[in-house]
Amino acid sequence: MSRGPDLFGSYSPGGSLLHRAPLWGKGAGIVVVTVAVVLAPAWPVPAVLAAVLLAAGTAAGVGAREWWRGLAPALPVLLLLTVYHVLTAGPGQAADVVGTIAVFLVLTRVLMHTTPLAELLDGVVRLCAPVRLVGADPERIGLAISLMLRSIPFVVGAVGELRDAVRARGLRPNPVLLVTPAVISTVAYAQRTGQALAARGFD
Amino acid sequence: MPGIPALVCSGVTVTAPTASGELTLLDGIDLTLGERRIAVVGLNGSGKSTFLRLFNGLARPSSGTVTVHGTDVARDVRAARRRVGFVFTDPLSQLVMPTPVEDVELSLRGAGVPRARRRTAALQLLERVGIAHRAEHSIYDLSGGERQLAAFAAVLAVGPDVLVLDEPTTLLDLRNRGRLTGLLDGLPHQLLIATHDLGLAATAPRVLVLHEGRVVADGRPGQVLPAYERWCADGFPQERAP
Repeated sequence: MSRGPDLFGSYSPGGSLLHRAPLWGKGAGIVVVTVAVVLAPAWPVPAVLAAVLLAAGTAAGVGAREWWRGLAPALPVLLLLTVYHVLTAGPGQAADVVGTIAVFLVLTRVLMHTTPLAELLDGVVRLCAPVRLVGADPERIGLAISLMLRSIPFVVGAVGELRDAVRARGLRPNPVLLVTPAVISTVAYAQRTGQALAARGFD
Repeated sequence: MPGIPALVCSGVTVTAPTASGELTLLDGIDLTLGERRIAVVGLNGSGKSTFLRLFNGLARPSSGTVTVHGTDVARDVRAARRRVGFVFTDPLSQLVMPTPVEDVELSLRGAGVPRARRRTAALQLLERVGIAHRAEHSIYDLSGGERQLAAFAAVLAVGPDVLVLDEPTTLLDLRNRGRLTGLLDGLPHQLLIATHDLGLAATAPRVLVLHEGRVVADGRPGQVLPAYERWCADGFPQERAP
């Protein structure tokens, strides 16, 4: 199985300020960015935030290739959104929407690059501790989030492999025809992952 | 064998529903496995994987009982899973976190190791299997052998008494096969290994041959493996009617 698109990135050890920042500090930063983007009156705010985050990520060691790997898979969707919003609401609205999405893509990559997933998992578990009051298990919520992060690139990679398999037979890949095998492949992956977790005592 | 608690199957049958009726995956298995290392050989579809999965509850018997060192797997599957570590053929199925160290840490979390000690313990385990230098790499950037060793470390992290390995050398090149078998030789665990690798099977004092869900041979490798090779060419005893 290929790696698949690297949408979120993964932790890379380093000694940058962001690497050394405590998780609560990063969480506070995420809240500030989210509030700023939500309350922003127009596109310059997300544009400036995206630029600042790009600079911060680059300073933390995210290279040009890694930026490209993370943003390239989203470009077709961003392009479609741009066209749609330009036609329906004007260029300012389009820049605002696309800029907001870009901010969170960049923010996610910076967070993933500078924070070990285990540390994130622990943070999520602590954050979700109150759900114990209603009988839920915060450990499971944390595990589910980490599995989601691991699974999305796998599933997208599986679709890419199916497309290649169709091309290898001299056929043009039809997205509709790929749906069934992609779903089967994804369900099989989920079953294998579930069995692997069960085998390790997570059931 | 004295000194080693046993894996026991008593009258175990496993069936699975199909469109045309019921498929028998394992049929009337009665075994007491007390050796330090047991190999299971058989053709594709002979029931090896199902047999292995019985011991940590990934497969459940339709009838009969399975016990692991005295624990009835059906009654206390959690206890059985604490005792039995399972290594899958494809390590990518087993590695659920982005990097080896995080995957091992996940196992340590499940085993109740405190957060402050997990990273060090995970790195020590990866060191033990020889891939500490790849601890922080994406699992997609590891070679097949490194992935298998990472999956192996994640299983060892749970602290099992028994290791069940489903075709552990199938995806490995000769060098990585050597690393894995060397590692297995140095472990104190009881090992149950399903394999097509007859060289690996020959290292076990006891070899089982499964065919169409039944044990058709059970004995020392010097007796069983030549017979198995002969049957592969000439046909197995007690073949079911097609």
